[in-house]
Amino acid sequence: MKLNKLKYISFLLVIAFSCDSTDLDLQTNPDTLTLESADPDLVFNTVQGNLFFLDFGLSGFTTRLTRLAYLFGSYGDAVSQTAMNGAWNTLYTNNNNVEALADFAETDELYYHLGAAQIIKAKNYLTVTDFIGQAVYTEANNPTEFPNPNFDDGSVVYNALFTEIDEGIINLEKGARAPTTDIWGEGIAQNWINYGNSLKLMMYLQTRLVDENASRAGINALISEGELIDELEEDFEFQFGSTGGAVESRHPLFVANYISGTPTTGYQPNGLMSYMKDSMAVQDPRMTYYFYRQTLQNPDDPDLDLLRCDGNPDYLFCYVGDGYWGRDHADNDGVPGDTNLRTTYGIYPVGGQYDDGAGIPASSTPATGAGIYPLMLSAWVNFALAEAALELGTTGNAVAYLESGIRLHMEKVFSFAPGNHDATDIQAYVDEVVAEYNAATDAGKLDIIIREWYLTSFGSGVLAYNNYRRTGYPSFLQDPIIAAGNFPRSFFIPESELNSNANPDLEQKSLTDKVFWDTNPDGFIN
Amino acid sequence: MKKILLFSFVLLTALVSESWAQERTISGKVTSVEDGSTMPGVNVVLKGTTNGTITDVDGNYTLSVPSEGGTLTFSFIGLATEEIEIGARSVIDLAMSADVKQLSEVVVTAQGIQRDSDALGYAIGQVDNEVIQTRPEADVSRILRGKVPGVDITAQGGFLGRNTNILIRGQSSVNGNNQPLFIVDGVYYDQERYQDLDPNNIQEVNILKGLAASSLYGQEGRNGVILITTKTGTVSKTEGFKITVQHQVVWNQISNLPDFQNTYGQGADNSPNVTFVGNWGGRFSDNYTVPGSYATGRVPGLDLLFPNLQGDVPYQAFENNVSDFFTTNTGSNTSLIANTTVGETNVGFGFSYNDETGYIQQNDLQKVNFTVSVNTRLMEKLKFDATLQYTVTEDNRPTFNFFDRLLYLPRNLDIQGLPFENPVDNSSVFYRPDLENPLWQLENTGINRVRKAFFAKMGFTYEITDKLSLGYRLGIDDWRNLETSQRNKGGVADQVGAVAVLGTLQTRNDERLNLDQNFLFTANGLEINQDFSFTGQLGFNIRSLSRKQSSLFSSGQIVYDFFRHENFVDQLPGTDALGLGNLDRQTNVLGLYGMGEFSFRDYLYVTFTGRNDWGSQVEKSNQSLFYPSASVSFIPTEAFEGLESDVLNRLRLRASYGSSAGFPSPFQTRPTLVANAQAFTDENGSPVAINSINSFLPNPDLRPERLEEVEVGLNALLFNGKIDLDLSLYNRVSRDQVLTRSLPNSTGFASTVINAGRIDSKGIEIGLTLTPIEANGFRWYLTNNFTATRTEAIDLPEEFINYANGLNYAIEGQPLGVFRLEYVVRDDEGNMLINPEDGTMIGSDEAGLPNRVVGDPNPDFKYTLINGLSYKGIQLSVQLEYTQGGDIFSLTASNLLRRGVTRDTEEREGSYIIPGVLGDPGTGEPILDEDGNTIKNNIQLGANDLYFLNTIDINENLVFDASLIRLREVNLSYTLPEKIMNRTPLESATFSFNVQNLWYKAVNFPEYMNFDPEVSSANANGRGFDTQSDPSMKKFGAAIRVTF
Repeated sequence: MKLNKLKYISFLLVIAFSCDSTDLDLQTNPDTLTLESADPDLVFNTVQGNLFFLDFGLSGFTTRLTRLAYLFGSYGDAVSQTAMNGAWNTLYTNNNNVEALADFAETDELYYHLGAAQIIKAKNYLTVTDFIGQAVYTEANNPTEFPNPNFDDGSVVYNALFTEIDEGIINLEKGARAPTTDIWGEGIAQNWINYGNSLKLMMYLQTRLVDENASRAGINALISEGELIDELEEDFEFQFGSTGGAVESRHPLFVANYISGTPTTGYQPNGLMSYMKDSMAVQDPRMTYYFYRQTLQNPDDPDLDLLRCDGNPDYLFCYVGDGYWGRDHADNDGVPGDTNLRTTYGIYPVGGQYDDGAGIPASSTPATGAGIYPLMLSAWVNFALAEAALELGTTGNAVAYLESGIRLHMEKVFSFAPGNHDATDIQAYVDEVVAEYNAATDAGKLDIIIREWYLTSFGSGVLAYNNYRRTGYPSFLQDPIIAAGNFPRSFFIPESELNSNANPDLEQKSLTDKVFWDTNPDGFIN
Repeated sequence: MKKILLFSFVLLTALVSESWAQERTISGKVTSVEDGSTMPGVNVVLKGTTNGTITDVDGNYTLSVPSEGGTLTFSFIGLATEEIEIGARSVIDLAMSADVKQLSEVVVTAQGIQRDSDALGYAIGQVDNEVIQTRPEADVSRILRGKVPGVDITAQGGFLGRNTNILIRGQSSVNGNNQPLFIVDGVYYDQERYQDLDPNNIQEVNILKGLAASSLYGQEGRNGVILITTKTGTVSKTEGFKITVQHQVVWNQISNLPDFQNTYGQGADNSPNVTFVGNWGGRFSDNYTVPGSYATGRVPGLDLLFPNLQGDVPYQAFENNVSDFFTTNTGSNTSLIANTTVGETNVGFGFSYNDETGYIQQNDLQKVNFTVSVNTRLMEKLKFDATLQYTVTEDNRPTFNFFDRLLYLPRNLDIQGLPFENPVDNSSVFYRPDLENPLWQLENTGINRVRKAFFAKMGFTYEITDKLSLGYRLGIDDWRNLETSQRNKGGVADQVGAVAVLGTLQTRNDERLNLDQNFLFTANGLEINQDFSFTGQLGFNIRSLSRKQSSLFSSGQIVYDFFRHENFVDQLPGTDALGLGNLDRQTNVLGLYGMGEFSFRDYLYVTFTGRNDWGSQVEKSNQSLFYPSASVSFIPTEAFEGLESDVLNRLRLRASYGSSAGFPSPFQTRPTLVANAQAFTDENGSPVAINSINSFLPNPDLRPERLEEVEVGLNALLFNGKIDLDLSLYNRVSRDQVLTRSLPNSTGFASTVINAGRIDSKGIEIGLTLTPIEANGFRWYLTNNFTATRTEAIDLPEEFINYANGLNYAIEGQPLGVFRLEYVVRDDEGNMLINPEDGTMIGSDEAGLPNRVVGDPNPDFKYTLINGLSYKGIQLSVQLEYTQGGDIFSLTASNLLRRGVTRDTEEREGSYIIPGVLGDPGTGEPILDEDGNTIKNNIQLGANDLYFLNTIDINENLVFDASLIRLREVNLSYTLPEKIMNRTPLESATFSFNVQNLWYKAVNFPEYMNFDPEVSSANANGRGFDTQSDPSMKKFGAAIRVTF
């Protein structure tokens, strides 16, 4: 019998394919890295990126609510139950990375990394708490012990954040090495300390209606320490690049509005354009930096039928004049194909084109998209100090802070297209505001401070939204031209959390619920 | 029916030679009742003697019989034996008909084990080559639609090359794979490439539906098994060299387009505006003059590029502006199958070539399939068989966005008469700058897929004795998919992100190697005593699946219309839809299995099987899982004498219990780090790399899903075979579902994976064939297939689980896959709440109310009626299908209504009041008058406001019932009679004509959409989601098939 041959054949086959095929120890994913290979500098990059992503994501909603950008349709449509999903997710997943940096700080003495990360963590919490009025803090980031965490009231979170920031500052003061990439602080620990203190300033100001004395004391202490962002060089801003393509480095609003054939993210708000153009003796010199007119042609030309609102009594503005052509607040009419004709973003802050009156489509201009996203500006710190001086009587002179805030911001904006405006334009503008301020009542004074702050907020709506809820100013904001519903005094608890958190005490709130520092009456703003 | 029949050997050799005193000769011709053809090989025996003969090749016989009396017995395997008294006749012709009692047949079951069909305690779906070959359809799964009860096949799109979703007995896993296992000629064939099969080389398809049937295949068999036996792969002894050649010409066209309205054009509120997308503008009959589509001044530069297109034009409809995109295109398929026997060696080979163009020129498919099979004896007791197959399948289509806007082009847009590209830089030109011209997309975008596969099978069987054997089988399925997705620069960013403007190229090379090894020890037909016998198998299976993938994404095209990565500025590792870029991974599953069948006489069979799997997808402690099955088959008509009658010819009862497992996809048990080399950029525009903790929380305790199923059924033959009934009822329970659970983000994690929840499926499958007439070569039969499945989610750990890209939900107590969406808020009496400010419906989102269930994509039942006629060589069959219920969420309907392009929204000049009562949009509560009564809405809306803004913004209003009537197939064939063939060198010749998808009607859809809900763009586990993918196709085919 030729059994040997048979054996030989089957033996070969089994050997050829079995060894590799019978291995059952294949649970480690060969296509990803493991936790052991984490690099603290790269983890810090995640954290510092999230400082931008969270704030920028919410800016989109709030610029529209505060008329820094145009809102299509009602408030309810703009602020859905999913609006906070992204920010909420960023906040808590980022906390895990901060936690990882805490481990590295222990083993590798990376206290700069940790300190900056703690301040970022506090800022992210702060923004979410300001928007929703509450957040998960005590039971956060602990899936084993708290699979369905309870929410903490906003005031509880606020108190904890003061401590977080202070701990961060202590770590930053330890003199550890800076991260290899530090896009915000540029490797200087003091920059982060200034940012942390500026955040505390905003928190004290925000809570001034509920605890005036604590706010006054806190702000005075910050002023005497003097470690605030008060110079242009110290501004916290996210700098965009000018390269597009595979890794998009340009400002998203630039990409959306300037890249050929792309629809804009919307129109420019008629209310703001009208105010900057016509409310003062001189046109706000920043106007040609903020807005870019793609055509100077009068859109009202009956041949073109570009303005469907023309003659409609529901509209307050419809057309602002001088080629400035946007939309009224909450206009929900259909959108014609005018993307390359309507007024769009200018050079500040998105990195578009300075408007020198050329009137050509944005896509045909040489603009680069290397704009900025302002996160904490020295101008804002000055406006905050002006409000504190006026309302709380804190150290310093309100009008001096106001003037300084305007100057710092104008200087910043002008630097985007140097040579078009100079100190004389600033002086003329400042003189008019100061005269108006000195002549105003107390309420009028606050309106002026918040209005000037508001005008410097172009590009980010996060603080403007807080300011509007805290003060009800600026008073010039246009009312919605449709039945837009109640103004959201806070945002919904994100649907993603509601749907996954089985905590029986968790219930959706209403958009008209006020956050803890907002003691203003219902219907205070619209 | 060309089945391998048991005992045939015995019957064929039942011949006797001895002859008696011969006093006269009787002769005659035997033909078939079915088609009138002559019957060679029929036994003709003088009853009570051994005197007999067999008919010759023309069905003639001659037999010497005694001078007086006598009865002739005519018998032939599979036909009813006839006894005829000779009397005084000298010529007796006879037409024989099929034996309604049908001898049992050998069926290929799990692991290639051939079993007597009587012994099976579970349902098995069988499809014969007659209904698969010569179809104008290269995708075998599409041919099978509606032909087997319990098998539900839907398509992801109508383009050539699009995949189908095949569900056997519904979906039993929420997140796991629910597609069946493909086994070709006994070995694993990757389900992802079933389209490589040549339908014309299929001898038979057996579908194992239940777990008792499929559990020997291990976890991959849990969704049912499609066992394909090829013609080349099962070559048996043939006389001479036999070749079958088939050539078919195919015509493809779009099955239907909406009925467009041609009364109103672009604009809003009944006045024209040629920059709008919507068609709520003026009446064409009002003879407006409007700026030309490229003369509105809204796309800068068009005035310089196209000076002759400036100025005004009449406002008029271009009725065929959409339909002109589609044409009837042709294709062909050619197939050659040959086999021969040399000594102990049987050789078969097949070659097929398929080349088709779809309903647009830019969609085509080519397929080459080359197969060689051989079986022989290497030694006296050692059998060997092998198959080698090489296939290349290639398809092309334009960008996935192609249908996004095509179907609702403005009625007055003369798209075919206007340029689509900038003559200077070839960029897209259209009436709006924010939209891409579909004509430009056809010329400038494309997706090309090439799949090259090498499939090999080798098997050895060593026959220890005539009843014991030992086998080894090796299957290698080695294939790669090369996918290229390209787009010239000059597109519009909105469509696919900002890089679209710059031009993109993505290439992906996905290689798979699937090894399937099987050791099998068989003890066949061991007789324990006169009544009992035993057949058993013991096997060991090793299956190893490995995958390597690399991909590259480039953007920033330099030279227009040249697609090589070197012609692009930036390169990134590409990612596919799953976010996978570079992969190199492997999964192994080992299985030890056994089967024992005990039979008592010829009417009671009991079978036990068991399999233990070890899978590498989970941690050690959860890797091993045992799952048993048992089944019983009992034939009362054999067991109880006298039960069999002309009414009840045969009855078989079946019952089974089966279980199986579903291992989760790998790598979910250990933590990983997210790394991205280019997460964002710093101020210099340089990429910043990140590491980050994964927001997915791994679960080290993850276990396989467990499935159990009980099935009962019967087969009955009634009224002399005029009624043939096959009925199955089953109940399947799938426990320990591997569910992706969303975690509260506040825990720091977004999701994890858990074992929880249960999916129950119950179903009825009925196959009923009626043969009202069968006489004189004429046969009329009706095949009825009925399938009803209920799949319900039970015991879920959460209120709901969202899966399959978002639309479908598992909710406790609800059918699996329901839609949970925004709805129209209603009062307690069911009246819609209307916003008092503007007269529109109040949506739940606006009122801050959570979504709720508003639709169920599962049909109530599906029914197929195949009406067949045959006469001599002519065969006609008509397949009608009906689907009752099953909802679909339709973006096609949404957009066509919103843009006012179909006749559904043609009546529009009046104003509308949405019936309902006034409500508070903030709270979703009705507003009450001073008497506490609701207030009826009386706010008037224009049609534009009704459709453009409000109605379809609320998702509930986009859910439609997808009940459907369809004329799936008409097949007509004619086989030339033997008389003619005898004068040719050919053995047989058949002409056939076939139409697929000739007509359909979705009865509850908006009437003029003409939408085909079978094309659902959901991914494999999703159901009922129409995202405007490619519409379905109508196919005509004419074929000739000859054998020589």
